[in-house]
Amino acid sequence: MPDTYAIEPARKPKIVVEDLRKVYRTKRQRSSFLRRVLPGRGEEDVVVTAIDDVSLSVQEGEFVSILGPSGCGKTTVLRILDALVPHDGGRVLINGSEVTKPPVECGFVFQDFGLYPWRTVVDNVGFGLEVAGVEGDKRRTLVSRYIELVGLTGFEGSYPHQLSGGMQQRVGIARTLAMEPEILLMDEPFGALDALTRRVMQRELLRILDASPGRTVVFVTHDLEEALLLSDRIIVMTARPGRVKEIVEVPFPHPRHDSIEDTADFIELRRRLWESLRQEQRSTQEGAETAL
Amino acid sequence: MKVRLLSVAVVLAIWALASAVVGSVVLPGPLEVAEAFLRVASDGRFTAALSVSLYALVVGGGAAVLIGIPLGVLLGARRTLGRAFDFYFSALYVMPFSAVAPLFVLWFGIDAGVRAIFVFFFTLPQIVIVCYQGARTTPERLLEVAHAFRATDLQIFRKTIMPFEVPFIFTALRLGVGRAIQGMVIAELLISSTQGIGWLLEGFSGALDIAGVLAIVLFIMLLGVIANAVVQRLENAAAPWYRAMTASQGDGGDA
Repeated sequence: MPDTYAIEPARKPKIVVEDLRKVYRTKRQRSSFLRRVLPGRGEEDVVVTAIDDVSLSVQEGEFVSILGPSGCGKTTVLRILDALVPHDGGRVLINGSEVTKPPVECGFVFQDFGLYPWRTVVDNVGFGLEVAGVEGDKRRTLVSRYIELVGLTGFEGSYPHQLSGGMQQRVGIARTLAMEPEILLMDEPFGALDALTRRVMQRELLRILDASPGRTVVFVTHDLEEALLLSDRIIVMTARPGRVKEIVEVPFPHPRHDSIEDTADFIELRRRLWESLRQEQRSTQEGAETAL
Repeated sequence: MKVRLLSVAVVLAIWALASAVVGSVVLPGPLEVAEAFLRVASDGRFTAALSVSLYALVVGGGAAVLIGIPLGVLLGARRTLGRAFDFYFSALYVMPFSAVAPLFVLWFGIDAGVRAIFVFFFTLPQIVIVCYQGARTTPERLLEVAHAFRATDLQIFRKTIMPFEVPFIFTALRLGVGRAIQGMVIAELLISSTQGIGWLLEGFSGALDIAGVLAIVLFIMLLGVIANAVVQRLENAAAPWYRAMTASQGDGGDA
């Protein structure tokens, strides 16, 4: 098996995460309706450790997936990478400097697309450029280039509610790609799509990324086949509080083709990941049962 | 439109039937009310009264819109400001205006201006509350998207909060028109007045001219329905995405 993605020790990592910790201090509503209505104490304080002791690094041009059971804090890790939520310990370095506000190197793709319902496809794709002050021909050129890349030519004037879920996420991806970020942070981007559309979009993403080599991607998912198909490396997280459980190298060459799904290596890796995930899923359920 | 015509025909028929049963002295039928309306409308006093009433409505209601919209949006966009001041408008909204109407006379006199001031305070809380609600409920995800694209506070306000606010502004306008018309009539009934539609209404009421009272009440209601339809059309033109989005969730709402 050609190991094209062996990490050269001298290469500088694009993203470094050290001992990341996030604690949510939230209020939980009391279970009795009357106690919620009456004044005072309708809520109780709850402290939840979402992630603890998370360290990882991502090399330039690498596609890394963060895989874990629901509620393990994988999305929280990604959101901290883009400084969308503050963290309580540790630090994040991107290109060697510590992240305190959304870094220019990063572009974020949201699970529920996050499109502006009052903007057409063109205006949604151009949103980030507009905010960044890119005007006129330059913006138009970038917008139409990425609309074409994601296969939405002909839908420029459509509003999000006129598009299917898959097409809406194409808009979301184009909007982020139009900023030409060095790092793409994708939070379960296909999680809200039906199974068939999800498979199509995974293959579309491979095609889109092949069109712009050298881009670093951090991809959050709970779909292990998706992680295997797309990634160079998979970081498996434990159930809450989320920690790095193991890191799995995915040794398939690029450009990727979905025929790898039939290889013995793929099937073996899938079995291993499933075993690993199933343990965590089980401890999530046990945790939930003790809480009850 | 066909459904509406049919609906109006049915209601008129029920009304006529009820009138025939209880007698037209107690409940005049639609024809008698229409007749009364023509009688009132051909009288010079009606147009004079209407222009006096519309003055209070346009000045007071207009001021409430011009001040209420930015105020509501500001309170909604700035959480601390909202928490500090929102309840004053809830309080003003439920204030028994008819009970304090005499105080308005004491403070602001009895000329035409006082009725405009009354309409202003009567309408303002409605506008502020709806606009406040809109800005406050801007979806967290859309704000987060703006953050992720490194938008400044001003850009977030202009490109996320304001566009989301547009349909709420139109809702505020629609409810505000209704509220302003009510305020106008209350002002004319309770703040001593010798002009205006409310004063005409009081005159008919005193003379037990039931058909006249109903004619003016229906006229006021019609005014509200028309204003509502106009604002709805403006909204559909200004925020077509909103109607389409809510329609796809099962609400038609063509007006």
